[in-house]
Amino acid sequence: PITGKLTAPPYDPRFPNMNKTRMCWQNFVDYHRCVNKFGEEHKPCAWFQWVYKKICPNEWHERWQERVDDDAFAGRLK
Amino acid sequence: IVSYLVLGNYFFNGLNFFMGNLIMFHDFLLIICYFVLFFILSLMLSMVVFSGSYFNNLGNVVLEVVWTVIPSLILLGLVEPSLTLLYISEAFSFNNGQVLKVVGHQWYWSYNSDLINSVVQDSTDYDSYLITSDLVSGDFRLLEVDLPLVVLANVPLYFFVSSSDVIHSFALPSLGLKVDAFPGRLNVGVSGGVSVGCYWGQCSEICGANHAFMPIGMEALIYF
Repeated sequence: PITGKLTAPPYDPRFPNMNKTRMCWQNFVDYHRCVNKFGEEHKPCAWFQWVYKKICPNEWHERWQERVDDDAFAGRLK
Repeated sequence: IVSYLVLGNYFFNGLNFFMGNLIMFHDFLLIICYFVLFFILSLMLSMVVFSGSYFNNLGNVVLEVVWTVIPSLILLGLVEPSLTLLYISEAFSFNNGQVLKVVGHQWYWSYNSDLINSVVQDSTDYDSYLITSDLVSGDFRLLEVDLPLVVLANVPLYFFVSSSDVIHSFALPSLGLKVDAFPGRLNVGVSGGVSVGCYWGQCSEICGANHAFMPIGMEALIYF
């Protein structure tokens, strides 16, 4: 049986409407910016990763991750 | 309407709170429509059936005021449940509950639930196809799917819906839910807790040849 509490990403007032595309993209970008700035071991960066992994379709964040690895991502990650 | 509904149990078929109230509002509204219809029909019928002159009084200010005020009072009475429902449909805090990702394809759905580890593929995504053959007696012909969306009962559900090719629509009418799936867009639909059971829906946006053959099956369980 499932034990423990189920959590969902909390309400983000920057994205109040039904369209959460930008929320997904923003958390992905914020995770990479956080990691670039503070390093991968920095715990708070894991928050952004948790959010985008929860809400983004896998196709999207996997495809973006490939582009990040190829240095071809179309967002400012520095 | 919303407050007294909580006391009674109008949630047959395991609907959620929102849909139960929506059904009650619809019934209430329909009764008002029947009253209005009956009244108008009786007036019209009386004009047809009974002989007499109706041209005695060609202007009556009181009558005109009355037949303006009474419908506006009826409409005022309808404001409260209507607006309440409008606001409770989105009244979720998003802090706890189950997050489900739904992606529409031509012509099947793929689901990703944080509670399911797929044994079929490497990722936690799994595809859900309509079952066309090997139906057992008692199955629903165009609704049975091989791998339904499995969900925890009694917790809020957040459906994040997108599409990989053309526009689809994720519909669960028992929950009052219809979330369009656009390629390149992520829409969210929320539902309060549902009770244990099976819920069905069908793709609600024309998406090609097999648009009618990509149903949504959802099972709500309390035990995994």
